[in-house]
Amino acid sequence: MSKDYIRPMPKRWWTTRPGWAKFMLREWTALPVAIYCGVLIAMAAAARSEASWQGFCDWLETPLSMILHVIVLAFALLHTVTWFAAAPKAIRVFRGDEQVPEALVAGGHFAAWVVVSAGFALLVVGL
Amino acid sequence: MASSATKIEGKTVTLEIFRYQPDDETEPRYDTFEVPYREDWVVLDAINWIKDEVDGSLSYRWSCRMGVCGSCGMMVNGEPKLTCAVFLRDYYPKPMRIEPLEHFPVTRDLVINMDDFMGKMEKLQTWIVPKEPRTIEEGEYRQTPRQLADYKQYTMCINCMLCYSACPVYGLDSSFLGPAALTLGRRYSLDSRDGAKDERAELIQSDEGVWSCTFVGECSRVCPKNVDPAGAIQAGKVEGTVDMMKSMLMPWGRK
Repeated sequence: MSKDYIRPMPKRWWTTRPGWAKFMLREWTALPVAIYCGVLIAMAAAARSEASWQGFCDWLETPLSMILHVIVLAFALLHTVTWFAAAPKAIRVFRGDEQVPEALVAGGHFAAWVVVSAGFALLVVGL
Repeated sequence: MASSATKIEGKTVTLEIFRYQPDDETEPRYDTFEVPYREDWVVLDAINWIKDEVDGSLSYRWSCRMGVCGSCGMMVNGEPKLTCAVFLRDYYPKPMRIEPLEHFPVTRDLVINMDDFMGKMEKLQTWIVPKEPRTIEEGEYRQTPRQLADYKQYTMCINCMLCYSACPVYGLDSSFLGPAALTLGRRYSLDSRDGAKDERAELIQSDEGVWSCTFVGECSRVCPKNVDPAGAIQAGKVEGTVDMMKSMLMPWGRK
């Protein structure tokens, strides 16, 4: 079988098929989310004194921070949507002998997301 | 060489076909064929026409031409497909490029070498290994509808290997057991009649098993039988994690 012809994968293999490109984009959403952890750490550090807190708040209003927030929000949404859409693959639920439809399992995740987000929104607005 | 001597009347469609003839050449080439366009023809019909009318040396696999045998899988315009289930009309009038299933060594033209896949099924013992020897007098193995529902979806697999061509993990490192073999391994491990669950789990939970999967999900998208190998593999990860947690929290329990 030594005469078999081997076709190696190209270096930028993820650019060759739409499904693979989508997968890579999903994986890359982890980066902006990780970067945003830096912002949260900075916020925790700034909370130590009045002056540094003011400085942090001022930075939040800069165009750079605005742009960063928009980008991170977009990726965080993509991250969440792709994650919940994938959830039914990992969670197979049976009711009796029948498997619960995937759309229902994914829908449950999205519904929980809305409820939890609304709860947080109420908490923030209520304060 | 590829030009047809047969005069074709009416509309035609262009097929670019990957050719590899190891006896004469060391590198593959692409041959272009003009094929009659028919509303009710699938790609396999067009390839059969080429072999009958133009070039009898074209090699490929096919058998049932009704999506059951799983032998006519090829790349159609870069997508793994059962060529008996892809209509020319869905691509017409664009030319179509037909290549052997990706991520496998090519033996000749559109014929791939499937030894690796066969070896993986053997390794995973994709058959029922009885819990204990049983005589015919003892009767059949009984199963409830619920026990059947556990694995029934996975029994639809026809071993067509489209999922391997869809999987970049397997393409980059063929030591990965891959979608179909892992799914079939799971199919037999979930079967109430089977007794080799632990042996298979060793492999399924190993580095070449489910944990190499990065959940691209393309295997499930290309599967012509809705087997959902991606789902089977993620379920295998969940099961492995639960087993690990159990053995950590209750080391005195069953392994």
